[in-house]
Amino acid sequence: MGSKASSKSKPTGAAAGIVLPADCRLGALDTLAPQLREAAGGGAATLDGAAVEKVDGAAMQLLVAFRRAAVTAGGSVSWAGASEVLHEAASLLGLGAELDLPAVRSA
Amino acid sequence: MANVSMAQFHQVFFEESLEGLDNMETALLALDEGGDKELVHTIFRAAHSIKGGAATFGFPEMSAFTHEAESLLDELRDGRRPIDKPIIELLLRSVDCLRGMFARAQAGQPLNDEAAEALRGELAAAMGREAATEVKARRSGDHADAWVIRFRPHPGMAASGNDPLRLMRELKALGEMKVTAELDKLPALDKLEPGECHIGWTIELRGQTKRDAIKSVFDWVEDECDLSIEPLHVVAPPAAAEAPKAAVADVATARAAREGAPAASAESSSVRVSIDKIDSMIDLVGELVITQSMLDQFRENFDIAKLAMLQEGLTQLARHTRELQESVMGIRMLPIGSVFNRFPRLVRDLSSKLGKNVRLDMHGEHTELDKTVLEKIGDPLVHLVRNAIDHGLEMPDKRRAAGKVEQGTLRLEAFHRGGSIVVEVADDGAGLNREAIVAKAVQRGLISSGEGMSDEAVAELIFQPGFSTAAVTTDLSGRGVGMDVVRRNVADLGGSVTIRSTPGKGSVFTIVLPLTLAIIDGLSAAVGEESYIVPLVSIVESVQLKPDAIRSVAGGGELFRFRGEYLPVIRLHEVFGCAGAVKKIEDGLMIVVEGDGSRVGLFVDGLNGQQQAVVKSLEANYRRVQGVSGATILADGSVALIVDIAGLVRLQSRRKAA
Amino acid sequence: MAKILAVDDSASMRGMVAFTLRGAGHEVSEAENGQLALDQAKGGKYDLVLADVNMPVMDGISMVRELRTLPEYKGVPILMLTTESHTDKKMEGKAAGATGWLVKPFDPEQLLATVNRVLG
Repeated sequence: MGSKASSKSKPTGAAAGIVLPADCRLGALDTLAPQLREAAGGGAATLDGAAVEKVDGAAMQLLVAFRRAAVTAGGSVSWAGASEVLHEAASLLGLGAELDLPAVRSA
Repeated sequence: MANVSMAQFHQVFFEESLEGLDNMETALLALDEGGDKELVHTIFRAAHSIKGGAATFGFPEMSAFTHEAESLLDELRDGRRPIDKPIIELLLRSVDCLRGMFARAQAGQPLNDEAAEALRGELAAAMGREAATEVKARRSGDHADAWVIRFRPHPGMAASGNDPLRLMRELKALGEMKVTAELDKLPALDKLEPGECHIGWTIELRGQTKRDAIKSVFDWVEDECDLSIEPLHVVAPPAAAEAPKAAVADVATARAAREGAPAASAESSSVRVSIDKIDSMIDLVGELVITQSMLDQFRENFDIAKLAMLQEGLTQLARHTRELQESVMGIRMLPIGSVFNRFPRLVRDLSSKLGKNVRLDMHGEHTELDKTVLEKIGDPLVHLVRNAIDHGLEMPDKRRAAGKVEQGTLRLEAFHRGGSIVVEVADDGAGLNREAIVAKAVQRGLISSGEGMSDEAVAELIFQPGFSTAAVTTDLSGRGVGMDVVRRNVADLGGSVTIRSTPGKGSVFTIVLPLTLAIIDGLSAAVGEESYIVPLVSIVESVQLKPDAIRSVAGGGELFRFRGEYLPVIRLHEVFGCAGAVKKIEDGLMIVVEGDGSRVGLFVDGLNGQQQAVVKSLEANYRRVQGVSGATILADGSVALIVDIAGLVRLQSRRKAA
Repeated sequence: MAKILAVDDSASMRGMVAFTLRGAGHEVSEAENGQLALDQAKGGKYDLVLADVNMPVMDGISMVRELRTLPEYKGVPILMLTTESHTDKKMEGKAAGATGWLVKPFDPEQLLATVNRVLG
């Protein structure tokens, strides 16, 4: 699994950067979920979704749960980038406001 | 964002739909006269595409309304319901109602009004009368223009490969969607099993969609989710009692909207151009480019031996330029059929209201007219047609007594003649009643008596301002608008109206219009240092006069004799204050012109020749000038004013009166 | 373009499916029963599996059940190729974890429409 040896240590406000994979679907979530759980402990987390080419409802649901958890823990989540695919998915699922995606970069 | 991209198609949607409504109307009228049952398919298709378009482009009220009409048409098509007068009447009113909706849509107003809702109720009621309740229930359950879908997947749904995102994407293909996610059941992050679904959705789907289509999106997950699909009620059913009154009002407003619409939307309106026209222009541009490169070679090395080639090239250039000009002008040309289309309905409504039996005979619908002319010729034509039915054609018994067939014929015809378009409105009615006209003209103080007046001159009286007033027109004709207004409107388009009438045989009104307003054929006349363009259509003849041909009359005016008539002289150099102009009659030229129904002589120095003038608006570039309709730029770069004959005549008569 | 595994014991049926999908630009592998398909599926990750229901050695329904136990096939679309008369088979397949079904007989267009539907 992708969790690091230091997975138990607190992020202590340091920016946690998570890059979402190109294929961000159910099959990738077993790897992604632990990373997100770790980053949601508080502090400023950054999600980079610029490379996402494929995404599904399960992944979007996980991202919503992550944002909620992070905010509840007093942290913040910001986006380093979000692909058009992510935007489309958020809009189709009515999660645009919840996820607060940044503007699409014209690629 | 979707709305922004949709909006650019709205205008096209409006135009094609209005065309579709015209087609529906035409087909309905044909059906009314016992036309082929196949026409129902045409009508159905038109309604169907309007409905689909309206749903696509975000006009659910229009879509809902059309849906009712379509359902009714569907029954006619299947033969489940006979095609009878009341049904046709109802559908015709629906066409009017939709036109009103389109007018409101174009004006950005709310689409539904009471009348529209009432008529929608009437349509539904018309079906409810005969349709079994069970069928009706099925319909209202199966068809809707907007749906509310509540969809809550069971946790295991995604694991079976049914991604909610895919389902949403499929739903979106069915219409416009408003999605609200319900996150109340979403576990906290550390409790969330990523493969499980814990979000539910409420989806508002707008579009012409059957329940079945929505259901089929969910067909694989029926047992893996909680699902409900309910029609969303956009409009409340109308109160039945108010229906008839409101519906009548709507016909009136729809008609008013229709008649007002072209003028209001003229500025942003567009023209649909056939691909053929565009292709031919592209061809011509290709030819021009070839000619240009051929001419280009003379720039570098020209010797006199190549002169013939150069001349040949210039000839080609001239030809291609002219052809290209014609093609480009052709873009603005639209068939007059779009104006004629309204007449079957008008004739039908009017004649049945007056108890007359009238057959409308239309020819030359394909004759093309400049779009601007087309938009403005409708009202004068409506007036002439109303007039012909109201005053021209007799009641059936009167016709029988006169030994004529009971059915009167109204002929509407458009054709080319020379560089003009001729539109004729002819009836085989009683013809002008000389005595009645003379009596009325005397009563109105236009003449003191009709004695010695030619029939032609008497007929001209009906075009005199003040001849027809609200008191003499019936409620149907004219709305207090007289023939003088018709003539003025046509004159504003650079055209003329004349009448020929034979007692007992009928009348023919002839409207002559220029092909286009953008270019006129004119005669260039010299006045002092200036040049003036006199539109060719208004020129009767040019004559050189002897000094004794002119008579001065009291008040400073001059007259000259032309074919037994005395015509007033308008000296252009006086009107426009040109220095150095010819003053002696025998040294100059008298151009006899006709405008606003009367003839005058324009006195000029001489003629420079015939030429085409591209009209530049003076009003847009400077200001409105009496007696001038525009300006043009001559080959040498100087500016020439285009003489407005009708305006000059009016100016002259005002001066005379003063 | 997607990687698709077509499973059917009928060579003609399999051939038609594979031909149609290859024509649409997909990469198609074939297997003639559930067991062979399972082995093949473990070897490479497919984006979509199309499986007949009645097959020798291992039937389609068992194959789906097995496939769903593999983590890499969680959420991957699996379509059953079934006949309309066997409504119960549809439900059985669904219960085993199939995404959906395609009713036989189907023409290439229906096949492609359904495949495009699940591939998004």
